[in-house]
Amino acid sequence: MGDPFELLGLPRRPWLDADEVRRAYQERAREMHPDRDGGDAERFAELNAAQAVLTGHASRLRELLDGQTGIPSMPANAELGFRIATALRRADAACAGLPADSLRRALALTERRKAADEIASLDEEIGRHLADAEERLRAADAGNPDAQELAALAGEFVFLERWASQVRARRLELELLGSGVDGVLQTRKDSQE
Amino acid sequence: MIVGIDLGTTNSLIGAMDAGFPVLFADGKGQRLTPSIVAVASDGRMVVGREARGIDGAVSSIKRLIGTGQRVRLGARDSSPEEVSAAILGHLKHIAGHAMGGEVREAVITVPAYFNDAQRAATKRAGELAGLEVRRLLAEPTAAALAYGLDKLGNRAKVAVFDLGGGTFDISILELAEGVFHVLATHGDTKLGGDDFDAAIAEARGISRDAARREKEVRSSSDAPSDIDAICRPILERTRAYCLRALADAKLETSDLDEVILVGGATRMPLVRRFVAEVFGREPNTSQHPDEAVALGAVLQAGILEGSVRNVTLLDVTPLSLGIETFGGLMNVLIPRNTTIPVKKGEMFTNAVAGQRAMRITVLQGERELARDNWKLGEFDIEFTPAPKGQVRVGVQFEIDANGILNVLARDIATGRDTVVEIRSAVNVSDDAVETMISESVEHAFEDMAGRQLAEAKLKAQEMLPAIDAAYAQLGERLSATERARIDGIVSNVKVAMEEGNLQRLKKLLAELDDATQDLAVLLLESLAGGN
Repeated sequence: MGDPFELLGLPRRPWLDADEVRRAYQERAREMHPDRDGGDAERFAELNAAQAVLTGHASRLRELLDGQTGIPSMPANAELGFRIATALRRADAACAGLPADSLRRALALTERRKAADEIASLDEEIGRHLADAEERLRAADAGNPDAQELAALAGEFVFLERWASQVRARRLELELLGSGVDGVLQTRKDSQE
Repeated sequence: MIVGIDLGTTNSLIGAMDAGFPVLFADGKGQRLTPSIVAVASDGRMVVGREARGIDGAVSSIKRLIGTGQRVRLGARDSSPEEVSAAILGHLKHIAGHAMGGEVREAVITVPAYFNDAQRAATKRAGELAGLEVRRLLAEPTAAALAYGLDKLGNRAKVAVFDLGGGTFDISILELAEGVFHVLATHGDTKLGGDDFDAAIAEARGISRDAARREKEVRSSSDAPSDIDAICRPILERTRAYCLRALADAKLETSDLDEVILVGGATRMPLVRRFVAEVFGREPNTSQHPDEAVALGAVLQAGILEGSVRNVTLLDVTPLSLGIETFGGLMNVLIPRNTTIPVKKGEMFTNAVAGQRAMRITVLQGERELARDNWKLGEFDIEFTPAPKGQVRVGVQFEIDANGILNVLARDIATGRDTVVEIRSAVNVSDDAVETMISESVEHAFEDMAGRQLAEAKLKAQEMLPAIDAAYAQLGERLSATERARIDGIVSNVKVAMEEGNLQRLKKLLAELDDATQDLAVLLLESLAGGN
């Protein structure tokens, strides 16, 4: 793949605004899309990949560092990582099917609610960490950052972005299952009336 | 001439560009909407649409089965969902051929945005079976956005398309930017639609699904809330999380949207309109024809491919993350969901031991961390020429094409030669089929029926007893002493029956226990609903 910054005509900077990347992408996509006259499937696929690289903070910083400086492969906040791993396992277990008898069903629903609360609060916590890391990235962009500083930030984003995506997916799944409790109570009320 | 086809769960449509405008074709009776029903008539003829309605053994809602590997009974033989869909496509092709006065050869066919690789590939095969070259599979909400936005090309706007059809639900968030239709995120459920409302009404009322549909239509013609709403609401409620998720993926708030566009037959229901207004905090845009917008979009995409529609570019996405199974049974994401297609991603594989001949790669689609929780798309082998450890390298390119279908290319780094890799598709057995498989294997494990039943009853008892202790611990004093004494009495009898191995007695006691713990279960649920 070619240089994504060059492909999108954007400056090689640690911070790029998501809107800015999207607009640059739309402009070029208009010309390169294979459905258009003079379009090119190969170049368009490259453009798509370039857009994806520049949109994510971790991938953009990795591109900027160009393999010259190693990015930490362990999360800076290991404690948070452990809590997330545990919560993800619990959430996946809570998403499993419900037993047939009413007592165990009720207990499983209780577990589900606990898992949902835990995942929701982790989601917010990750959101705060991301906002904080973004603020520092902006500050670095405005100053004169060295490679070490950018690599450290890239390392943070690698984990934060992945965690955010994983926790969000579980949050959605648990929210989808969440209406179960009210449904069971309602059905029971109906059948009693 | 390329036709555009909306192959729907309940109804299908076909059209083409005519003098610069999209036109939908009507059949001999003047109807543009063809019911997606196939049957074999008494004279052995295959019939499609209104004519098939009411025939014994008529197949409807076949779209729900496409890409699953399940088969259906059609007339005297078992047919694949592709074959049934091909019959519908053949019928539509005939309508178009008649209207256009010539044979139709190429088509754009719409699919739910959230269709996975197997469902898309099967739809494409259905088109080919019907003698059509499928030039593009187009996501339904994207098609609807195209129909909506064509007369507003100069504008810049962010819109959501809420598409609730007969059998599928999609939510897509798009940015329309001077002729570019850019899908930012999409989400959905390929097993959620108006059919589910009908089924729920039928069950609640003890009537047939057809009667339920008629009742829904009659009641929905007025704005007054009805008890039908109470039945349908929990199903509709499931779309809320998908909408919020799509917004989050697009990094937008509801207030960033300029319009929320409704399409799909089920969005005629006032309940759905009220619900969308509630979720998005604005009145939805109902300017598009619920049944026809998707088909018009398909025709416009046909026009883009032909060159008769200019200055329009569609940027669509892949709805599900694509990855491979790695060491430890985890999924390694190669192409995240909501990546614009077509897209390519290379990955390098090397031999792990000296002389290794091949490596098996499992391809997955889905969002879960554990490989086994995702949908297994298929697997393939990478061939290595024998060499010392780490010496051979094979590059594999994963490409999701403009149809959202995966192609895999392997490149030998030494020779630079590319080969298209054949993916063995995973037999995608349905939940029911899995259940049958499991119960069958249990059946064989216990030759003697009574032995099996006793083992099952004991297992159930072993699960029930700790559950009761857990419930006691959570509820404490809130359970009355009499209730508790009654349950404890049955528990000690259960323990004795387990010791004795008395099946009849154990079964009877377990039923009693289930009954006696009903109140316990309700207390638990109420404490949840109360928020503690």
